[in-house]
Amino acid sequence: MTKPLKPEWVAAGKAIYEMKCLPCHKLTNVRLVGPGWAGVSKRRQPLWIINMITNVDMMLAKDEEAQKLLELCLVRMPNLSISPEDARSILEFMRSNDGEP
Amino acid sequence: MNKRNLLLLAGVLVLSGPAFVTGCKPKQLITQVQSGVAEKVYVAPGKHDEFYNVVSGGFSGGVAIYGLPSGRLFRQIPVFSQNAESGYGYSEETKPMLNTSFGYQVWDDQHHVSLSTTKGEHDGRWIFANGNNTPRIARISFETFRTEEIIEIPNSAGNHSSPFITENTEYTVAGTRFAYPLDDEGANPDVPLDDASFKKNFKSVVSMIAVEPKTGRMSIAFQVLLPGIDIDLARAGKLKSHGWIFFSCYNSEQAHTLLEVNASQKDKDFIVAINWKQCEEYVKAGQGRKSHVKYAHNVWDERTHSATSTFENQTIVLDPTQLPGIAYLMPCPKSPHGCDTDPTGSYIVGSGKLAAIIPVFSFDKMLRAIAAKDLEGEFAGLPVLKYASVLHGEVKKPGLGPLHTEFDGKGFAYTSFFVTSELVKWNIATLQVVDRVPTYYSVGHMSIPGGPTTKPHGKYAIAYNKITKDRYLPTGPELTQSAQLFDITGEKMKLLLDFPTVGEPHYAEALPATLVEPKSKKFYKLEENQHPYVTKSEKDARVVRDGKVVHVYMTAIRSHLAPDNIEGVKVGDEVYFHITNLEQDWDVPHGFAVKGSGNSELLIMPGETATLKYVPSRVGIAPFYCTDFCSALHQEMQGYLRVSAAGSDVPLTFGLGDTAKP
Repeated sequence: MTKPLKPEWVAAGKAIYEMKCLPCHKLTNVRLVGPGWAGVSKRRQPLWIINMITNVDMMLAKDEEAQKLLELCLVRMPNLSISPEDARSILEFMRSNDGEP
Repeated sequence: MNKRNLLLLAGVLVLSGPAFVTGCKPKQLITQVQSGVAEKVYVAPGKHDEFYNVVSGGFSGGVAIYGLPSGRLFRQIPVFSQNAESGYGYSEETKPMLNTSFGYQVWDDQHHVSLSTTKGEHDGRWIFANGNNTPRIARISFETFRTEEIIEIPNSAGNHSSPFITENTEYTVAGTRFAYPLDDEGANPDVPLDDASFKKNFKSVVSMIAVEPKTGRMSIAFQVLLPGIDIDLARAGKLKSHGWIFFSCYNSEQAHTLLEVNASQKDKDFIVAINWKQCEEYVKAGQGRKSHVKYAHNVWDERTHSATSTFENQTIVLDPTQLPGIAYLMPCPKSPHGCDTDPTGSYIVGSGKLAAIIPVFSFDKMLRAIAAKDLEGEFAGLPVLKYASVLHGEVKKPGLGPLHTEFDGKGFAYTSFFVTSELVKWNIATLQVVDRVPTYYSVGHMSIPGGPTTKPHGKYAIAYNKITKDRYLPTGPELTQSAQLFDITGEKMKLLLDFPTVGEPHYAEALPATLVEPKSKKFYKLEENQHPYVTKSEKDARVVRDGKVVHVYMTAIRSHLAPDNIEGVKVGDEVYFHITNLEQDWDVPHGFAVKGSGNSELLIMPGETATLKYVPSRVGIAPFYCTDFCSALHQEMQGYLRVSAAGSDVPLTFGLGDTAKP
């Protein structure tokens, strides 16, 4: 993991968030369509986050934690065709949102 | 006579022919199907068909896509008519596609399709489709199955012999079915309808529309002026005959009334052979006349998800009575319809729909007759080649009313017969009939996968029948159309399946799914969306007033529209809902409808932006919602627009959730 965060990745992640994630995820801990993102980078393993972003259908089929979230939210997270590189930027933005320097 | 007898009589009239000793009742027809055919057309759940069948939509104005061998309908592509499924022709982005020199045309008649080829073989790039009534040609993408371009054809009427293509898709063609006074600026089209006026003023042209090899973009390269005759169908030469194109024509009598009788007087009409490579030389040498006309050219831009319509103002017209070597007439019995070149390019099959033979012309003999000036005379200043000199031979007693012929690439031709309602298989070399099979009822065009190309894929023949009658559960006076699938892998043709079709298909083509399926587009990338009113992020969703015009920048994603509360719109405003579907996954369209819109709904593909114009007509709350079931919370995907009186001072506000009023 990068320490400190890479600012260009954070910026790229923020831009993708605003286009593809913002309609359903707030940056606070308030659930909208999906869970709020506050604290997500501390709650979840990086690999789990990347998998949810890039391969949500597999996660909803196999991962117990993802299935619990579906029971809670009742809307399947859509596949937004995000590349692994872009998912890495989103993760960087999540960590920034959680206060990492 | 009671009704039962009338029906029986109709059956006898339609079906009596070489294949039938007596009149038939439907119950007897079932025995025509042999056992074991079901598994030949059964495509198991989740499995895909082997061929795409691209079928003209006739008077629906669109093109329909079926699978073969199952006969399942997958999609109706709107082309020349407004479409109440997608909003084509209603949305602001698609309206320009239906623009013409006559203004906006809501509904046309779509007859034939032509699939792009390279070296004479299907290449899976584009579908071309003709608009018959207000003459146009459309190009449809095989990646998106959407209409990408429509070009109007000036100096023409009844664009029937179209949109047939040349070997490498250099050109798609158009021809005048109704002889017609030219549209030239300064010409006087207000002419009397009588014999003298017809001969003097009425002309026919064939148009060669160049297709840009990479983009497919169309432009009218030149038009060839012909006397006033009814040009009917066309096929380009291939391989050895590449560089020529052949048009059938009827009404060489030049009748202008009761054509049923008056255009059926002569024993022979013509197949017109055009040497388009020679035409190109004349155009290069500046030998064409500039015709000043106005015609629309409409282009869809996938980056902006929008069409533009511009007007062109000129064509080049070549007059073959002044420019020798570009047009020859071959006499052809009798009122020919089909005019089909075989896969080797050696033979041209004429199908005289009132004839009792099929004439087969030899391309080599045609060239020899031209070289030897072996003429039987002239027609309106054009050379007429001697029938006997250009004929390869005649298929004797094939049936009545041959319409159209396709090929299996194994040396056989298959001709459809309307009057005797059958498909007839014959040997091109020996001209002997080898098999015949009845169709139900009265086949028009027929199709073999790859049948018009240099490399037919064979396997099936499909009959597109003109009469349905009792083949399906009845649905009142208006019935589905009827197609039939035949197995042609053996010596004998075998009926496999009836399948219903829409809008009276005329012609159709089929090609292997492997040429198309891998490149079918799944969604539009948001990053590449350059629509001028795109909203790429929900945080940018907004409402902007500009005088009486209100632009709503709205986003749609499972399962809400943003903004979903809007106030401050007034009666008499022009409201534009620009809706961007933010989804980036296959098969997640969103729809949009607003109460009392007076327009249409929208269907918006993932990553696409589409615009609905809405002029509120009364004060009140206009709810809006998503019309395409998108998720478990689809029913919640709704919002409210408050419409106030004209002149009211309700301020413009909008919001969603936190940003809406508490």
